[in-house]
Amino acid sequence: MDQHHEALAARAASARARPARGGGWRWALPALLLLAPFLLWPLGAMLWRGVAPDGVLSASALREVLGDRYYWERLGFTAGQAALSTAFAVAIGLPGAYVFAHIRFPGRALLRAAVTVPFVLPTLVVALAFQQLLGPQGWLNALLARFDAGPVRAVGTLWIILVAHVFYNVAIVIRIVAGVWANLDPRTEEAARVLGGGRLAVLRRVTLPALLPAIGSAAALVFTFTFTSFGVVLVLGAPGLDTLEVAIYRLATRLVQLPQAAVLAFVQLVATSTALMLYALFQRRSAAALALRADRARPLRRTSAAERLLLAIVVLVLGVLVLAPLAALVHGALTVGADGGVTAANFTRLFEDTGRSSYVPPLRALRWSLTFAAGAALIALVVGAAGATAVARARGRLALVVDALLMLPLAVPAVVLGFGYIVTFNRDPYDLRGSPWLVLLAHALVGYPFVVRSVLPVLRSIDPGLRDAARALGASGWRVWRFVELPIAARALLAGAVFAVAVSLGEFGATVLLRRQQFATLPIAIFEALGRPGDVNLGRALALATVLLAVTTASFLLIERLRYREVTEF
Amino acid sequence: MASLTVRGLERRFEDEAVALSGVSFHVPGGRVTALFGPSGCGKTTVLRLIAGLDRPDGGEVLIGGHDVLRIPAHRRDVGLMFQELALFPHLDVRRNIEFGLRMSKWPKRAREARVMQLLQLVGLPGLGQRRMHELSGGERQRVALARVLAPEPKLLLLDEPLGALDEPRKEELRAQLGELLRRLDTTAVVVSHDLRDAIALADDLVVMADGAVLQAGPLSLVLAAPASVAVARLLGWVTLAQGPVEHGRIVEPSVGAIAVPPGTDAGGQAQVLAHPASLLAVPGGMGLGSGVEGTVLRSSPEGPAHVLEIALGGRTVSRVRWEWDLAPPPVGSAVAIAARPGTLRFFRTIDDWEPVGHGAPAPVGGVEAAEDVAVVEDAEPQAGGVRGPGVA
Repeated sequence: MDQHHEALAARAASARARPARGGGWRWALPALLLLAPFLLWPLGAMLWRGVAPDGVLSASALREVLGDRYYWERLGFTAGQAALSTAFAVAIGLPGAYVFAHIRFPGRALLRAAVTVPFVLPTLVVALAFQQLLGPQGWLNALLARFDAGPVRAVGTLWIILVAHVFYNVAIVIRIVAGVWANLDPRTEEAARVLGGGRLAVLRRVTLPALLPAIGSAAALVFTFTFTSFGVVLVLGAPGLDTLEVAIYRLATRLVQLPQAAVLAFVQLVATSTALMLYALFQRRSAAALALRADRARPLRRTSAAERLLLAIVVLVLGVLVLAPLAALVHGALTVGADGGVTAANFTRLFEDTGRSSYVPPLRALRWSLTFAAGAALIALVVGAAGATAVARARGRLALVVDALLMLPLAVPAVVLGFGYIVTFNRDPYDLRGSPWLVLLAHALVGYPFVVRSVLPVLRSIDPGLRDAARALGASGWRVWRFVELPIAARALLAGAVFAVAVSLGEFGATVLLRRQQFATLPIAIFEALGRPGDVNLGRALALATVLLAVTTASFLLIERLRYREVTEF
Repeated sequence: MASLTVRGLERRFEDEAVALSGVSFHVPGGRVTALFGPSGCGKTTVLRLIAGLDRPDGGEVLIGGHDVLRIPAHRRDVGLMFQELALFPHLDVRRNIEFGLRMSKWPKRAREARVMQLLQLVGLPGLGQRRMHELSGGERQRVALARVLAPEPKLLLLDEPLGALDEPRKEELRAQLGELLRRLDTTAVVVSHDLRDAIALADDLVVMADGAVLQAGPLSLVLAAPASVAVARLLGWVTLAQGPVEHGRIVEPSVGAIAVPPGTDAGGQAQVLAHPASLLAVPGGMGLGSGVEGTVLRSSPEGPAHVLEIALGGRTVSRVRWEWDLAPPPVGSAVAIAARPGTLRFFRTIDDWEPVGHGAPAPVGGVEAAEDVAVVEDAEPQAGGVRGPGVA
């Protein structure tokens, strides 16, 4: 073991001494070709509307937004709910991370996968699931009614939003923190114990400080995702409970107040960029602790009574948190409109043309969803693999800059991206309004960062000696990548691509703005059905959501099979 | 069978790489040269520069008479076997060996035949499908060797080819590698910090320390006649006596005196070195030996004789054979040291005895020495009554 660690340390030292050199910028080209026209330009055009509403510089929109209490409240609410969501996710995720990192129990792999499923679920599916669980007709109120307890009003409150956000993001905390925790050198803790530290003292003074970067990076990521929450808030929220993203959407679609929307978008961009920068900072620090340690440092060991109790609580909480809403969703799809019985009518009804102009044939929606997902994943694969290589080959500070630039799509709210496209690609010769290509590109943009994050740690862990060996055996720079780096990173690459598929399947914010009836995706179909009253439409939405759940879960289970050991940043 | 010429190679200190200053040597086509020196003296850096993995800050590298510095690593047609082996973990044995062949676009059939041939050559037939983690240390070493040999490079560079092995395996593979290199009749540079590797594998020896070449020449010549105290020390020679030259002898109080060859200036400081293999311990106080006496620190039976560890003045001369008697001399007793005729080397220094370990170029000269150093060839056999009476 020691020898092994020394070998790893030596390898790390030689990696520092001899970074792969040269030609790094060429690898950034595919990302730049995607980013410049389809992110930076529309984003710039969108922001320009804020500072120059009528084509000339003017602070009118800015003044209007800054002078309106309503927007300040939106900002306060957005930041507040994000902070609370993050706090809860960390509070629930930490014990979970401990359990996954330290305790071997039957069903560990299954629970680990189950907890992560929500992360890749489309927001609309999650929102619907919680409506079925906590809504007026939901499981909770049905249960309470049995005990003659009054109905609880959860929908339209802050609480249901928080619960949904925790449901969504607890996996991020668990995966990132457990990954580091499992690889912490147990000897430092043992040394602290021998030096007279009690369990709590060791936890507080040794373990938590070591975990802090991981917790920090997880928290920053959760904050980013919850700050930009859209679908969940749109469906489960109420007036007064709008996030900035929802406010932007309303401003732009209903009131056609693009300048004001642009100002809000700018505010949001600043917030998310800051959070993502914190994420990158923490990530680098915890990556230093984790560098190159693909093998777990801590053996999963026998458990104490206290740990078994903790295990029971964690399994129960996570199980209920994850399974209850999804079960309620499926149950709803099978029972709504069936007068107490079970029915497949909601599914068969999907194929009946309502005759409305907004009717989306489910098979066509599924086909478009899969088409976009496959295309976006393909683009994400190329852009992400090349981008990760660029970051891996860049030195020092340049690597940070390139990395940050590549992560930009995560900081740009999907709704803002959608609007950027609408205000940019609306003139000849690039009038792409109503073109499915824009949807595809938007999906690729939000998907490829996941490929980068999945592949980068693997690329960085490749012994530079292997590249030297390949070169000495006659491989040019490109062939070194093709025959050494690519095959080694292949599994991580595929896992990232499947993430991109999942993200594309669930993408809603940008798609809803770019949608056309002819190429509506499953989330759009759900949204359309939700917008109409009556059990029939609700049943239709639930059935569609169930289909989407099945497709996403299936694609996600692939990730779990393809994960390159436990080295990945997500 | 291309020749290799390295001329005035310079490399500035950067990160953890070792700096080189003016490294020059020549490897004639078909010969094997060992690059020998302590760890961290720049041997690996030289190989990386020859292979084109790093760029030198000055100097030139000629392969087959052609300057190759402008040719990128992958077109130099040089085979480099890495100390850490750097085998591809994602490929099996067969594909590792095949890698270079694919890069130089060999047709499939030729590739397959070549891989079979190499598996046979390195003694691993039937292991083609194994993954790297399923191999023993010795097997990995052989795969790395096969991989570097496969594309038939013009020039073979082996960096500590036996480095990662335990001692018994090392013995075994050393012999096989030596035989293989002779059979292949290829131009090769073997880097090692173990003199035994150099002796077993090489025709020529280049001795390096602190990023510079101290001496280069045919193996037997360098071994028999180290050009400086520094080289002699690296090759395992020990100092028999050091001190002022008086009346044609190096005199060291408490050790003794050894006659210097005629014509040596009197008055200067000098030292005389010998390789332990050419020394023999004989009873002290009887006028036997070369004129120096020491104290027995320890003795151990070895083969048919005994090996003594002997203190000479403040120094320890380790491992001198004792064949005088069936029993070793008691610890603490005085013994004299005899040297085989013609095996002593004399060096006269101007001011510094200890060039090794200070990092400065040795101020002691060699055979082709500068004028500030008087190098004296062997002492007269008068001092070396090695084959004395006794153990026959």
